[in-house]
Amino acid sequence: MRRFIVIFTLFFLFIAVTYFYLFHGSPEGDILTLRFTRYLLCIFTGFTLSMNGALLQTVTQNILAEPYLVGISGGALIGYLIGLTVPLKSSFFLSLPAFIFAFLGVLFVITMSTGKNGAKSDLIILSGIFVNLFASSLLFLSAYILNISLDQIIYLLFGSMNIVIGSNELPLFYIAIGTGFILELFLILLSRELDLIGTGNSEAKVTGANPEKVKLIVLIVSSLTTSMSVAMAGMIGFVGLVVPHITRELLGKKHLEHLPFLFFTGGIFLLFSDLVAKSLFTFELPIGSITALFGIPFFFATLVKKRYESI
Amino acid sequence: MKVFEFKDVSFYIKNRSILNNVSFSASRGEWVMIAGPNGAGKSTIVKLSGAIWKKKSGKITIWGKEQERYTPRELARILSVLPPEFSPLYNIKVIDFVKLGIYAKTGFLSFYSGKNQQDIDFAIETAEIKSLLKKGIKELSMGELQRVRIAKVLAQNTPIILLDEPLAHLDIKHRMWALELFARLRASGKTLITVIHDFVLAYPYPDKFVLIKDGNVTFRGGREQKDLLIKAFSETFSTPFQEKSGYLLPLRE
Repeated sequence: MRRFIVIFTLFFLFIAVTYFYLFHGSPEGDILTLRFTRYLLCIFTGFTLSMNGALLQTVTQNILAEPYLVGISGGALIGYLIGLTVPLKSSFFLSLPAFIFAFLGVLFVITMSTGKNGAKSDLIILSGIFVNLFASSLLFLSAYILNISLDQIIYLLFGSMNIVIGSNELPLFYIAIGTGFILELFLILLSRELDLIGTGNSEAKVTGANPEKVKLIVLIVSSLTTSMSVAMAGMIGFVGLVVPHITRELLGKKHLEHLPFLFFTGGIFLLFSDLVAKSLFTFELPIGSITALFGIPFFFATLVKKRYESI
Repeated sequence: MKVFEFKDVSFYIKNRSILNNVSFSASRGEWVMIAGPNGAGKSTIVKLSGAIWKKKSGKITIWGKEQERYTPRELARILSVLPPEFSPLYNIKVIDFVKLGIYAKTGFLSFYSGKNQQDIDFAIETAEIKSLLKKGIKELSMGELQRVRIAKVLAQNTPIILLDEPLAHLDIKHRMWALELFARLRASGKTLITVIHDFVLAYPYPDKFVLIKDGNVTFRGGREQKDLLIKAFSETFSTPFQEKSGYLLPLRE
């Protein structure tokens, strides 16, 4: 019954935010199209970052993991910059080098922090932060050569949903985010394996799951979808931390109980953050500053809780 | 018929040798107890058997086939393991945890649609954990958790069962309960391999003993040559033992 009320409330909130996001101030024509694209990007980013956060937490056995903190976003940014050196500058083309480097980034982070007894969770976060720092340094260094404006730097580092997509590129945009959605939905089919991995790698293996395989699939899909969102909307942190934790508390710890609903919670969180970013001042704030404002206190709260549990 | 066999299995980490040419076997319906002092390599045997770690040399044969030739899923239908360590990430409910035991025997849809329910019911009934089902696994006492973990192994319902320290954290009532349960499982034709520290209590139960010290097998066999067995126990643990009314007891100076 409680579960039913929670799901109903989430659904209602989602519809309400969607309606307000799209139709407040009764826009028409081109503005509505623009808003719709931006809306789709918000939902896509919210859902995929939340999914990736939830999945990465399980496969790295680390409740603080999420695409930004494990270095996927930083790796994607490096790839994005490398892509910029080639003349063909469409954000979809840029997703490809971003994906490759996002994957390399997370592999690097996990290899660096893995010892004999598996990955050290604190080292994963530390290495991830350093990959991000390295990426942002690279961004500043290359800004002059690649002709990146200060506004763009801010939007790449802190995220922005202010995307402009030409009408000839729209079909590509739909295909790209559609593929991302489908890949994430496919991962929901791995719920049982993820539940098992959540009880420990040894436990998972002797019960018949293959943790390494699941981990690899999760790393590939999270790198792919995160690099798409970085190429289109920049680095947005802490979504993958806040949303899965709250959703798990609300709907249950089993993966099948909460993964599908990250669509609603992740979507609501990003739409809401974007509304705040757009309307708080006369100029637009980077959306990542809003998500970080919610996310960082949450990060420390989780850290403290984790420390209490380990005593 | 031998259903589980280690043949000259070795394992080392870097240059430190953990197991040296360990050989032993278990037949169908047999209970083999592995014992040895701390750091002898008992848990390593469990981890190698369950394919948690990969052996460096030798041969592990399970149900007539080499272990490497099984997929994890196939292996989990034949062999269930209580691994040495347990550190869950999420506080999932006891019922959901026990249910994961049937993973290897079901697909995505059949897992959620109640197939193999009788295995789960049997496990819950046998492990006496009905009152714990709604609790989270992180909210349990150590003893309760141990019973829940045993229940999951039971739900897996495999012909071979390998348990690392199944009596750990259990009070004396539940230690006796566990030993009697294993005896019943053996009577129903299952093969048991258990690593047990509290062999003073467990001594009357197993059919065969495998003693190890510093990665080497020091004794392998049953009770036929009782003197040899007791001597081996005494030497392996550097503690004199004697048998009294069916139990193995340490001698006081």
